[in-house]
Amino acid sequence: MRRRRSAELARLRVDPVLCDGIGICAHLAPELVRVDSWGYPIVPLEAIDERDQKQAQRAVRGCPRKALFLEPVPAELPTR
Amino acid sequence: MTGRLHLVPQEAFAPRQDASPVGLLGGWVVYPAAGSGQRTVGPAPEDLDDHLARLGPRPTARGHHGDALVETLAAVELTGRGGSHFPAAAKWRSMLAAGGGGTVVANAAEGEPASAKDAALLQHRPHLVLDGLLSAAEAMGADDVVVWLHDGAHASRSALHRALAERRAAFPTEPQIRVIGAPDRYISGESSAIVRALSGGPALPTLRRRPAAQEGVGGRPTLVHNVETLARVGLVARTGLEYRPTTLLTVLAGDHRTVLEVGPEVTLGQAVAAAGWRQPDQPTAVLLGGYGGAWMDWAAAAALPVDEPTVRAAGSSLGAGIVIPLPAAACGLAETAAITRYLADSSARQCGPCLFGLPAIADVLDLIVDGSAGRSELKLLERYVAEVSGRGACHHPDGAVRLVPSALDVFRIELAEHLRGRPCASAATPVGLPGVG
Repeated sequence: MRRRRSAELARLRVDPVLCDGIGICAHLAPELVRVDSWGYPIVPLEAIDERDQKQAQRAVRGCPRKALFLEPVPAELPTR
Repeated sequence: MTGRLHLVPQEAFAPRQDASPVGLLGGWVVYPAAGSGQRTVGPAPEDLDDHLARLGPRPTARGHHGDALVETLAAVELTGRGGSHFPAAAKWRSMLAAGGGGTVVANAAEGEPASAKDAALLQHRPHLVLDGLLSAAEAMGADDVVVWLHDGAHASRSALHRALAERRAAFPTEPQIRVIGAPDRYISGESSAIVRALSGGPALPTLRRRPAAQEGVGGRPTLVHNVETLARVGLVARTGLEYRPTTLLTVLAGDHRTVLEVGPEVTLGQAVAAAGWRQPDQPTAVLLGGYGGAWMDWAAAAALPVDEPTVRAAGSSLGAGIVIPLPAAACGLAETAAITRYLADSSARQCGPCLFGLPAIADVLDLIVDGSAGRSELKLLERYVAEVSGRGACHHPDGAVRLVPSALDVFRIELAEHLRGRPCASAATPVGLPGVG
């Protein structure tokens, strides 16, 4: 199902430079975050559902490296 | 070393001046396979007088083509030649929408050891690059104009300084151009690393939350273009819609790299032959786009025109124009393993998936190459590749993620033999690609 994009929609992102693979996020948001073979978080590319907002925010607040953040679903802008 | 390829010497090469007055490079340039050293063959470097005689003065952004330069770039579909092929006009519009001003950078830090086209341009057509850079700066209203190149790029640097001195004498009112040295690393040419370094940080990539065109050097809008892209801006500013799109290729053929400019009427097979492929047998495959590119079966690739949209339609990309044919006697899996190890070693070592993932991928490839891996290791390799994809702050690990699956596909017959414990005879002796050893 395609979601309509609006300013309300956000997705979870990791700044991989800041991330040290501590893994607290995967415990705080088990339905959103899984870890790779080396313990680093993989987050969904899609916007977060309303029902998952709470655990996403928990994971963002709980990250000791401040590497997780919520980003408004981007418009079509060049990134390079 | 590359001498193992046993190519005959290149006496057949002769520089050929392009009859077209609007060619980008106007000839062949030949470099040794390794290092950023001096060319062995090439057209005469163009000084300011030659440049003006060939192309006339640089039209100012508000001159002949006026403010419409960005519209012209859009109309001729100019794309980024650092490898991304991102539309140049989209970057310009994004920066103009952010208010312009700020910094414009010519990125001459050609990280791929197999590439030489940016060096060839800076050394032979420095004024065309500088024209494009100045036109871009003028169109963006930028007050900071930079050329970014590796500390070790001595030949390019002296050509650049010679050209800048000529311009200071001839056009004293032109904006100052800062020449900034980049650490001699593969990753120094990554655009977020450039922005970070010019903002006072280390020359290492960052995760960019907003595009550089909106928030770059010192938080101001910043345009970073590859030097070939800028040379093309310098041409388009003169030719307008008459611009004839060509491709600059660097073909690695054994002990030398040949930079040549070809149009879409030339096939990849013809370009490789023209670049001096002197082996008795045809290549078996070709690596398109360099170390972060993808392998393609030679029979399919040789017939393709040198034209990015056509190559894309065939499922690949020329990237920054790097073409590496694989000698018939070589093992493509062994070359891929060596390149992957090089990419792993070239990591900025900032992001876990790149820092740990690329060496893990290279380790499994080594096992496959020496014939000691089976189906379970192959599964593991595929899992690692999937996990690393898109997970660095920059696109460095994505290069390996393109390269490895393309090797598993193109060399699938050899792969099956390797997995049965019967590696290719040449698996233990890779050809020794530049920088890879």
